[in-house]
Amino acid sequence: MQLLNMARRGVLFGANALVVLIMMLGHMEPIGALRVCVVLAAAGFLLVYKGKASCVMEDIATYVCVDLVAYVALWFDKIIAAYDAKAIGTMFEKISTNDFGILLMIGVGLLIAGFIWKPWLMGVGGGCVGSALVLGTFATGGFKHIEFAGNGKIVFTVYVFSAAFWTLCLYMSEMLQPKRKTLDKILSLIVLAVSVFIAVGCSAYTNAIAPEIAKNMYALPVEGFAWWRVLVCAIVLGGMAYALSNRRSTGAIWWSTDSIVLFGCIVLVLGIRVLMDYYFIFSWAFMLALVVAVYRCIFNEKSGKTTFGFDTLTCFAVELVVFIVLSSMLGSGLVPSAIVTCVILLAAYVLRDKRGKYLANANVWVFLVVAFVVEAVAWLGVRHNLAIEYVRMAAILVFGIATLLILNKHRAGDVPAPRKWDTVVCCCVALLCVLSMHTSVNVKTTPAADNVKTTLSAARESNPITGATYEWVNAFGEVVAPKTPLPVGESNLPIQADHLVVRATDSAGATIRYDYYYASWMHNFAGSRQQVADAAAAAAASKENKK
Amino acid sequence: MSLVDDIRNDLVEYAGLEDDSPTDLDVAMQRIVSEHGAEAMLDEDRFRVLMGECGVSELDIRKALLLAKVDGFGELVTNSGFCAQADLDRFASNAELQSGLNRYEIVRFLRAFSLAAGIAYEYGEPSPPSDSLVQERAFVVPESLYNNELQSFGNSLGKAVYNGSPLLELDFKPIEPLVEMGIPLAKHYMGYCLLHGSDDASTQNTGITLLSEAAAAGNTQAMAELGDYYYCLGTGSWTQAYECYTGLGALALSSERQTNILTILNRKSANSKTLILSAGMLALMLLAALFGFGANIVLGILFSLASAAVLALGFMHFRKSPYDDVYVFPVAIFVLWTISMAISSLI
Repeated sequence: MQLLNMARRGVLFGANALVVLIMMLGHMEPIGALRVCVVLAAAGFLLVYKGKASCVMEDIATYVCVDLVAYVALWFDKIIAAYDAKAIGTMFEKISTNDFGILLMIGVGLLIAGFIWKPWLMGVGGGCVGSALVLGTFATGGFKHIEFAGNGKIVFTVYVFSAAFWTLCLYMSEMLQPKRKTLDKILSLIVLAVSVFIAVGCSAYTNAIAPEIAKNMYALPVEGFAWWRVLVCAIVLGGMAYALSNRRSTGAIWWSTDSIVLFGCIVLVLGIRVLMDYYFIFSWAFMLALVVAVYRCIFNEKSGKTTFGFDTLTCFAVELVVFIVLSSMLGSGLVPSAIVTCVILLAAYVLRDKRGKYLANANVWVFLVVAFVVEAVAWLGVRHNLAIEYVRMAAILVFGIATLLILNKHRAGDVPAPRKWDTVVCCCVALLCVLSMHTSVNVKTTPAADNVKTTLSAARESNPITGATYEWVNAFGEVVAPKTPLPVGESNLPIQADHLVVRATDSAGATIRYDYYYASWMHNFAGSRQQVADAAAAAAASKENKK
Repeated sequence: MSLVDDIRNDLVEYAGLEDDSPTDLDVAMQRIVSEHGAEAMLDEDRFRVLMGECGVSELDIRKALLLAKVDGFGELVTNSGFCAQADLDRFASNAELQSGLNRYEIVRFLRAFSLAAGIAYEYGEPSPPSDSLVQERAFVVPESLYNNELQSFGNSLGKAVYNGSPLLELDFKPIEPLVEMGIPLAKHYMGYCLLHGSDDASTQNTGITLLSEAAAAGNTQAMAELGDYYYCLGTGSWTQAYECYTGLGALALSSERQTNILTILNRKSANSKTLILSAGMLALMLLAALFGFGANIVLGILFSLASAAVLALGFMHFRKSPYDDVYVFPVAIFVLWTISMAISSLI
């Protein structure tokens, strides 16, 4: 058993070492590479040979710490050379004069709480402390009028993401092995010290590498997180999960907790990739919800419980599918569709037949028909808002349900109608709903750093566009710029806020709405604040004039 | 040795039977004739009372009275034992035509009458065929030759069904020759086992064939079993099930089968409602088309006409097979409406 556990630890260490070595190949420096090898060898000795973890994923926080140390070892000379003690002093001066200090105090409080109680709070506290120090170094003006200097925005973004990732690792580690709190606390302090030292103490170094980081971040959807890379990553993680599984003498596979954690990682990686395609303002909250759901499943798996009556892998699959569907809807501005989907899923869960006769009941078929039609109506409400479309949907609903009731309500004895007929009716309804979900206006957008190229065109020549406008809305729902006419054809719009709303009307009178979201940490919202102020002033003036 | 003895000996040897005791029916008829004379069989009321006194079952009494009305019965039993084989064959043919009983039953009673009346029947030379009706020979095989074996197998089968043990593991050797000889009850037992004891379709089909043969030969249980089989196949074959249950199978109706018949009869009512409601739905679809609710008006009317044709087919089918499945018709109407809507949205 001991050797078996060592082999399992070796699998994770090998995979991590391989990633580190691949990353190192692109930036080969002989001395640095030697230092990295020493760090990895020491880590291997301590984690694999001397390690005691039976569930290898409990060491995940340690591996992240090792990777950070390896990074420092690789670039040690440059980092030390960039150290500037004066910058630290300046930073503390700035913090003492603006409200970044509040964040620092909150962070210190959380650090202390984490040290006493839950180590993962140290991740949050460290994130707050580090963020405050990074803001003190690279930003001015306080939270209300924050202005980043140089590549400060990139450094801050990277730091926040890294802190979130570290917190998740700590939480995972604590969940899998509650007894290793002390080690996690020590690791947290090391990671905080090293990261703050690099980000703040060596600001020249971070400023120097920030443009490359920014470039990589912009290229994430097509390079770092290209679909093929994500799929390869998922396959590798799946292979590791298989390697870390337990096989019984009968040859059957029993997924270990390590395997389940790795499957959870696959779900999270795929979730991140999907969000890159369907970004919207509250993506972060959505991603957080997925993380919580995945962690809950892992926790239940470790406790030997099911989640909502499903086994963990089924639950992961359901979570991923629901996440993809809802993300694609929210990312496309189809908020009513997402709400309707949630309600339908909830209703399906509540109404499910626990005896396994889910589809034997006529009500289930009626439920499916209603679900199809309601989804289509929610879609039409955004993309093709026209009265006759709702009449059509009402007709589909009425005749679909009528046919199902004719099939199922008048039957002799206990013999139900063959399912194939119910299936045919449901398929017909689904087909009609899909065919109804068409729009008369096409909008195509191609975003760049500062602007977005918009192409507006009619789907059919027989139904031309009679008018179109666009407006920018910020993350708080405030209209940054009033409605502006959008001409048919290509336009180049400067990105002014998080949310672009395009509305069009066709010759039949249908109103069509398209929504596009832009991440504040990836685009420059030119003049947005000034325009909000102008818009507010204009609205106030308008009110005054009316009075 | 006569041919009758040959057959008898062969059967005894073939089926491993040694008991050739007369059946209860044989004993009863012999007692009636010996105590009251063969003329007693010609007086319907007296014959009924005498059979009742001798312990003949009510069903057998009715069958015997039915046979007593067949042409040639009086000549047969009052012929002082002198009866040609041709007369025996002729009576059997007449009985098949006039009584409606199956050949197995006729021969069983004929044997009892013949033994009681002391008819010296021979199976030597076949009688010259005068017409097609008398070409078949009336073989009187004593039931006692195989009765024990059938009873024994029937008991084993009953136990196996009750215990839920595999039916195909029963010992079929004793009844296999009886099945080959065409004994209906043996065919029923074998057919039942093959139908219910195997998941293999070809084995089940053989079982169905045997049950059908047994039912055609007048086995009421086999007919009822066939009714069960068709009933369980689903609504598509309920017309056949109804025919089985209400035909010869009516003599073997359990409470469950009576419920099945009730369900089938309700099916007719349900089918009628289904078609009428489909007509109502079609009318609504036509109205929707006329008011232009989404679908193109011309297309809507055209497809409504096609739906009306489908519905007419449905009513025709219902008149012909009222217990059959009619689900396809409302679904077909809805599919036609879907096509019209789909084409309208694509135009």
